[in-house]
Amino acid sequence: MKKTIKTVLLLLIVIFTSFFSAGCWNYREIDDMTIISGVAIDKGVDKKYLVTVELVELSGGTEVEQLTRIVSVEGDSIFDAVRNEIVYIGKKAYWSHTKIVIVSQDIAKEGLIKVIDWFSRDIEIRENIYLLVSKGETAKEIFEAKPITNEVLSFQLDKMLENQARLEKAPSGDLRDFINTLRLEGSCAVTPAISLDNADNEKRAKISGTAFFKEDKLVGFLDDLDTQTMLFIKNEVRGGAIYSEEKIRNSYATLEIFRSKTKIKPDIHGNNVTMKVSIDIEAAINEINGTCNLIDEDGRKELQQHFEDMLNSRAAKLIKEIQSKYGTDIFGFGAKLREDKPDYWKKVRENWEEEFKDLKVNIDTKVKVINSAKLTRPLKEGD
Amino acid sequence: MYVLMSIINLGDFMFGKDKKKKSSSNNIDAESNLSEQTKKLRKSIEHNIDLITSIFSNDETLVVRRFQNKFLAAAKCCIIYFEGMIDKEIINENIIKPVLDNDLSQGISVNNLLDELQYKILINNYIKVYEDIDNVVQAVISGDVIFFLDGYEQALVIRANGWEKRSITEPESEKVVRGPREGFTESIETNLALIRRRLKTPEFKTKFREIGERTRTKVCICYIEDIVLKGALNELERRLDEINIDGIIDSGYIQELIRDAPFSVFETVGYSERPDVVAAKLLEGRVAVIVDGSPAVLTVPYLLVEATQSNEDYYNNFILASFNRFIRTASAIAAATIPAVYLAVVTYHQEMLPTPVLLSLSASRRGVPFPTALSFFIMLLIFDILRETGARMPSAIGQAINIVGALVLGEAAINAKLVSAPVIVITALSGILTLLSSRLLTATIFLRSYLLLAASLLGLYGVIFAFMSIIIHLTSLRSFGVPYLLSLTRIKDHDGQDAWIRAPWWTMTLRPKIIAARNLVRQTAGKNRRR
Repeated sequence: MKKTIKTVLLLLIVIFTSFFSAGCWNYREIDDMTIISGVAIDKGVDKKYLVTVELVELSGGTEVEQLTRIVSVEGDSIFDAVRNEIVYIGKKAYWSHTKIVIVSQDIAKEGLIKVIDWFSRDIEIRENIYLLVSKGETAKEIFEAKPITNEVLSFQLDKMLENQARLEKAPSGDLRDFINTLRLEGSCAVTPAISLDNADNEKRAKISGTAFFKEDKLVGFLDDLDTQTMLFIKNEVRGGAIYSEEKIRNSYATLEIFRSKTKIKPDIHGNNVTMKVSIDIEAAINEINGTCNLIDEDGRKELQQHFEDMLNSRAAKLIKEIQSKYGTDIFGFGAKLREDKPDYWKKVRENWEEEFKDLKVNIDTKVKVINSAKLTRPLKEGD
Repeated sequence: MYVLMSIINLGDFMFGKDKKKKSSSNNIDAESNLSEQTKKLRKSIEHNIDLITSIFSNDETLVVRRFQNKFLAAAKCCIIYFEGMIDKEIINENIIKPVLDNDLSQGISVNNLLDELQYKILINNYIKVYEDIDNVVQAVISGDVIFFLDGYEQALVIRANGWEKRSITEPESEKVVRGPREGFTESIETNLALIRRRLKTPEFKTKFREIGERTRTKVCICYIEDIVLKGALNELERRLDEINIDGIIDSGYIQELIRDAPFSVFETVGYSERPDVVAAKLLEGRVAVIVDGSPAVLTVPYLLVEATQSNEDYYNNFILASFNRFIRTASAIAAATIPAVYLAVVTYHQEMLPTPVLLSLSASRRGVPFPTALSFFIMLLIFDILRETGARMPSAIGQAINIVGALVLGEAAINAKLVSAPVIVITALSGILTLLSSRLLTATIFLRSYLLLAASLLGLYGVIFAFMSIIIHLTSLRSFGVPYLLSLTRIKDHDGQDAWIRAPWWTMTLRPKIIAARNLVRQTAGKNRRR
């Protein structure tokens, strides 16, 4: 008898306490949630922020239609605005499947830390959500765009960023990468840039180029080509194409990148440091707009030489421009220095911004053409 | 753990006392209207006949046939038997005819006529002499013939029983594609013969006893003397001796009366309708209990691993057998856990779902009024109702039930927005998996609801919590002293060879440990042994 009472008591205690030790124990039905797919942050008129969310609405029974609604709410902090949404939506928003945060230029110029704090702090939001900067007037205008492949714009943007591996015209780091770079000494953060295009009388969202920061404040944008060059230097290229700007033996050629490996080596001579950047590219000839044989040994050598020179000059130009105009170390040279030459880094860290402006960079690109896809010669050969 | 354990404890507490009361109240006062004096057999044949007919008064199937030898008037005989229990051919040709026709006046000692008849005249393989009326009465009930001779206090009991028996067929519940097709019948002699035919060794032993005050059901314990687990055998005999019940109609009665952990949802006594299975279990050191009137032969000790074993595993090649066994084991676990895991993920941990899945699940729940947890309980209940109706209904109506179940309750319920489609899919999946491992039906049905309840209260945390409690319960179980999880918990020992997989026969050189500890070697490595 006593034993039974003891057992029952123990049982009750265990069940009772387990309610409190469970992580997320709130029972909620899946259809009671408002799924937020993306969010845009602008400056508010009355209050500090204007938060615009894109929510996914599902309708229909057997044939599901995904519709989106755009709701804008103002608030004095991000969380304030987010909670104010209940006034309009009624249900509590569900943030675990949010893919995109778009920030307007105004907000980005003022500093992103106060904005992204909530996104990395809130338990519902995943750290792999993408942070983008809108090149247009506002961030919320992006949601006016009509998606093409997906019913929900944010999900389409998410796919676009995931597939940057085949394009490499925008950096594809997520929120976690951004925060990590902010924390890292001697490195400046970048995010993809997004803009609105008018095509076929419809507004289309386009991710291309880079927004780069000094600390957490936006300082400028890079275009597609410069972004690719930056990614080459940062060793973040996984694929994509490079196109010859000038004719090589009367033909233009395009290479598809298979592998790219960049090594940065700091070289110290007395008080001067030179960064040695060696880019190793394995690529295949994917297109030849002409009749010249660029595939035989001589042609190939010339082709490789051409691309090497082109990339070298592009990189040198980009680095020069960043150094002289902005002075933000988006390439992470400082971080490399800190890793490889900590003693030297200690001397320059206080003054790294100035040091970076005068930093000497040697670029050495090696392009290796490994094949020429299905065709082993130009379409027309001979005479 | 506490949930299950305390349910069991509570059960013991609530029902334990009743059980003791019941056991003492089963005294049967048969044939009480006859005084001690008249209950004895006497020399007068008429007295003896009267005695028997008075015991069986009001029973009109009792046949009394008097006859006399042609040549010796003193040889007045009488046979008594029950209509339908005997073989008329035997009685006519081997009892009545020899006694009638043979010249008993010559060459026969009249002083000892009963013995003479028994030794020289009656043609039968089983004749016994009884003086005690109780034995005689018991014999006639069992279908034997009583033979009285005027002037003798003894009765001959002659075995001439012959009743309609079911022939040996393949058991419906344990069909195989490959393997012997013989199944046990309701006759204990036939069943014993089926086993003995597979175990031609003098070490094969049988012990008979009668259980049931009124049914006097013959129960036979069989085992192989030099392999059997002695502890389990003794314990089994002790538990069988403790049974004091009025009737045993099927081996299920005994199965429940002798089992360990009576309130557990896991069976600790196994059964089979196939002689090949029982013979194989005897060879592994287990004990079998054959119960007259039941085609299901019990085997002890019974372990969890046996629920996932099939006799066909041993007849097919080991690769297919291992794969099949994996499917069975996995499906048993999945049948119990799938609804709970789905419920937990959908109602607690939506962030674990990929976005497209979340959207499609969310869309499927549009307009469904009931909570997912409730609709699961309802749908699972409906599935079990359908399963039970399918089993009980005549097969002609059973088809109608299937159509109603599949169409009305599945398709129409979704269209009417009563439940969401994924719930139906998961219920159906779980239901089918349950039927795949039919030996664990009780456990899966109960544990599925238990896990589902935990999931609806605490999400995945609750599922893990409940699953752990099940594991703890399983590890605490014993079947006749043998740990219930034996061979499932270790893969290093030779025991693991026949648990999650079925190892090739040439590698299974040893019998299961603990059960066959006395005589472990199953096969010695011969010259031709493969590596």
